Formats: sequence, structure tokens, C-alpha cells
Amino acid sequence: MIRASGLRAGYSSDILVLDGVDLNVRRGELLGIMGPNGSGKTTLLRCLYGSILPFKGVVELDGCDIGTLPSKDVARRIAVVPQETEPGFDFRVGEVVTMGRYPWMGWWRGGRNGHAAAVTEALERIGIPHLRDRPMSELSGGERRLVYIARSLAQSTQALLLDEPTRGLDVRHALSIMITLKRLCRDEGLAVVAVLHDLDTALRYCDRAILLKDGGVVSRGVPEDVLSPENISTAFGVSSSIHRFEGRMHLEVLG
Amino acid sequence: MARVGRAIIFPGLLLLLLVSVALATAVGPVHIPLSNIFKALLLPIPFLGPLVGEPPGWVITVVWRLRLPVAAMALFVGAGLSVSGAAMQGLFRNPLVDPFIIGISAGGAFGWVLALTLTRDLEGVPIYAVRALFSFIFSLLAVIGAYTVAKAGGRLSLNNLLLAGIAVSATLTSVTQVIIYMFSETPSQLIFSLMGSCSNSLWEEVAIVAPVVLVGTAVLMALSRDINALSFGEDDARGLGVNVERSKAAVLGLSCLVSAVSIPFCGMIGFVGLIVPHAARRLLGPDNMTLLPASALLGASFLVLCDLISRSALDITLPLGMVTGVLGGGFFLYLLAVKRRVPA
Repeated sequence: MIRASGLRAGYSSDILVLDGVDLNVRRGELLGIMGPNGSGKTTLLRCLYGSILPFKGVVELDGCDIGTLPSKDVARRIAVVPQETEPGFDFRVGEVVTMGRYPWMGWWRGGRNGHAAAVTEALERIGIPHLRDRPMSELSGGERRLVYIARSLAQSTQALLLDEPTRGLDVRHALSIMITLKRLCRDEGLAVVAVLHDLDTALRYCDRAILLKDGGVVSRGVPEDVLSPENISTAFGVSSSIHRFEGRMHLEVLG
Repeated sequence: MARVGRAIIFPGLLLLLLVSVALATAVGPVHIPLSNIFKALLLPIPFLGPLVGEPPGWVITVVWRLRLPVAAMALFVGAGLSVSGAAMQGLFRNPLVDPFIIGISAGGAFGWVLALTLTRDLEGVPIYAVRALFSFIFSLLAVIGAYTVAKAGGRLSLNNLLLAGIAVSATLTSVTQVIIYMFSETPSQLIFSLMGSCSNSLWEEVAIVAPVVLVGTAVLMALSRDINALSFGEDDARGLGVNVERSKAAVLGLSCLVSAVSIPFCGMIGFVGLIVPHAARRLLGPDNMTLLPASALLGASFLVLCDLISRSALDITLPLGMVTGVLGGGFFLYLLAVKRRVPA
């Protein structure tokens, strides 16, 4: 659904953050992006929804160059959960999740009922309908994270891009978010791209993975191969091992 | 302060505005009994007008030719300044911004003083028209200057626009002061006139300001979702489908136009665009779809009442900008002191 090829991108022309990255994500697939801090994960994500345009290379959304598509069309197909976002003003949770409906609204916010239903469904799916009338300033960092994930679901897109969706979440919420993402892929055929720092989570939930270092791809493929001890050592400079326990693979960082 | 239901707020704000305008027409140097004021106000309304009867002719003249245009001017100017302040605060994600801060006010004052200085020794020049033209043009030129600097490199950086606007303002203000110091024979009078006033407004002037404010407010309301999304940052707004560069330019241009249109006729009435949106945000929350019209209504009432106070508090007419500063500043401090939830 989203295909990026030969991406060279950065924030000033003399420093390349991404240097020749290819990526392809299909419907019904959960793709994990891994890599050390500063390896270009967030920049790659930004390229994928056209927030920054690469110096070289192209991002195609269903075969169209994303740079030529109106931003509204992109937002109807791709929803984004940014890494850290701080509202300038104290909106309520319901208002924030309603913003996920913006790409679908007409000039004067037509069809309010359909939008309200989508907002309610998104809140219930993430398990936070009780937060609806709370101001964002009163929420914890993890709760805010859940609100932005709910907002991305309310956007009713075929693709989700998430920058560290589980950061700041307790184990139960982290687990339920990953299960929700997995379900969206499998049952509803969404294409999901998630930047993940927890390698064990990536190993467990991703269909495919891509490992970045210094703006280049170290490895891509099934998570078990991508997160091999050799690759982990190359990317992060730490030793690790994958072992099976009760039929499930686990990645342990040894030191 | 809890956010009260919209169902109560909007009729309440409308009522406040009606009462403010009625009060503004009732108070003036000539005492007119309230019954006659109401008769004059209701006169053009079919059925109701003839029902309550006609007041003396001079009352109609005072109410309709002298007091109402002033109230109407204050209404539209107050609405425009407040709407533009609210929109700019959302755009900049900063509750301390209004169009005046990024150069409108300093540019307007520069043009105002420049026009008066240049025309001082000329005969037969329509000073008023030159002053109006100069102040309007320079208010926009100041912002365009700051905008050009901030746009260098392709994308408009809002942070740089704010800094450039403040720098342009500081420069122009200094130059204005030099001009006043060196060339003005009546500096205190000039400084007074710079602080703004709605008195002596004519319907012809209201007819210029009103459509700009009304259309500008309507278009900004149509952009309210973009402003909401932009207050989460440009990256996030893009993810929500906002055409970021186009929306920034549109909101900025409209905000500046809606506030600058008041300058040729009323001078630089400060502080309204800064504080009214805060009060409105406390009533309704930050959603610009409701915040913008609420700011317009509240700002309209606020300036109509401030104008009333400027005319009636003392024997002389105080500059309007002085009243908005004193009242607005005091009210703002009060809001800061009692606030529980941090708006930013």
C-alpha cells in the first residue's frame, strides 16, 4: 500500500538523516521499524505520510506519488500517531479524538452523527470511553498516548503509522495496544507501520521488520531474522539471544 | 471556572451585546430619557416601531447619526480584533500572540505619524484620508516584512515570524518616536490619538469595516478545524490532512486584515485581541469553531462598553486604547490569579 524507494532525506541539505532507504508495507501487515536513537526512524515515518519530502527517492501511496496528493486525501488513507505531541491549548479528550474525523468533514462539519459514532467506537476500542470529557492536561502521559491512538482509529484509514505507540504505557495497556494493532491488520486488512523500541514486542507482534542504523537499512524481513544476534550487535552494539519459551520466541538483551 | 453549555453561552453573549449597544446609545453629553432611546432604537422595526410611537426628531438624529455609528464601529472593531487574536493564538500555539505583536500596531502608528508629519505644511490635503491610507498600508507592510524574513528558505517558520515581527515592531516604534520628537508641534495630542478612538465614527466608515470583519470571521470559522489541528503542531496537522503552508498563510493573512482594517479609522486599540480570546476560552474551551464566534461577540461587547467608559468616565474623552489597557490589564491579572487550569 505504501512503497518508498531510494529515500534520501533530512532537515538541511548537508546532513542526510536517511540515505537510501526502501520500504514496502502491504495491507494486512504489521511492519516494525527498529533502530538505535537517531537512526532515522521518525524521519522515515514522516516521509511516509508526506510531512517531509525526500531530497531523492519517492513515496508512493497506492501507486501515486505522495508529494502530488492533496494532504486531505493522504489523511483519509493514512493516520499518524506522532511520537510526542503537546496541544497548545487544553482540549478535551473527545475534542481531540474528533479531530481524527477532520479529513472526512465537509466545509461546515457536516454529518455530525456519523462522526460522533466513529469517535465513540474509537474510544471504546482503545478502552478509554470514560476519559471522553476529561481535559488533556489532567491525563498521564500514557493516557494521552492512548488518546492519540484513539484519534488515529477515528480517522478510519487503511494505514496507520505509529511512532512508539507503547511508550509510557503500563504493561497491560502496552499489550492491549499491540493486540489491537494486530487485530486491525489481520481482521480489517490495515497496513500498520510502527516504530518500536521494545525488541521483544517487535519480535512477538510484527509480521515483518526493518532495522535501521545511521539512515541506512541493516536488515529487513521476518523479525526472527532481522533481530538476529549479529544484526542487533551491528545496530545497537549489544549482544542478545533469541530463545523459545512455551512456544513463543523471546529476545533477551545480554549486555 | 467550568465550561458552561454552549446553549447558554451564545444567547448570553448576544444579550450582553444588545445591552451594551443599548447602554452606549443611552449615555452621552445630552441626556435623553430611556423611553425615547428605546423608541428611537425600535423605530425601523416593522410593527413594533409604530406600536411604541415616535420620539422627537432630534432624538432620532442623536441616536441614529451620532451614537449608533460609534457603537457599531466599536462593535465591529472589537469583534475583529478579538477574532484575529483568537485565530493567531491558535496558529502560534501561544496564548500571548495577537496581530498587533507581529507588527500591525507599530506599522500603523508609523504610517499614522508619518502621514501627519508629511501633510503638516500642505494646503488642501485631506489629512484624514492620507492618515487612514498610510496607517493601513504601513500596518500591513510591517507584517509583510516580517513574513518575508520568516519565509526565507521555503517554509514559513512561525517562531521566526514572531521574532521578526517583534523586531520590526521595535524598530518602527523607535523611528515613530523619533519623528514625533523631532517634527511634532503637539506631541502629547499625537500620542493621545495613537491610542485609538471610535468617537466621531460615521456610518460610511462602519460600512467599510463591518463587511471585512464579518467575512473575515466567517472564513476563519471555516478554517477553525485547521487552526485546531495546527495547535498540535505542524507535523500533527499534516497527519490530520491540513495543507499546512496554505492554512498558515490564510489564517495569518485574514487575521491581519481583520485587525488592520480598524486602524485607519480608530487607531491602535491595544490589548483587546490579546485578552478577549482568553476570557472566551475559559467559557467555551479551545475549540476554534466555537471560540472564534464567542470571541467576536465578547470582544464586540467589551469594546462597546470600553468606548462608553472612555466617553463618560471623566469630563474629557479618554483614548480608547487607554481604557482597554487599564480594564483589560486588570481583568487579565484577575483571570491569571483565579485560574486553576493552565491554558498553555
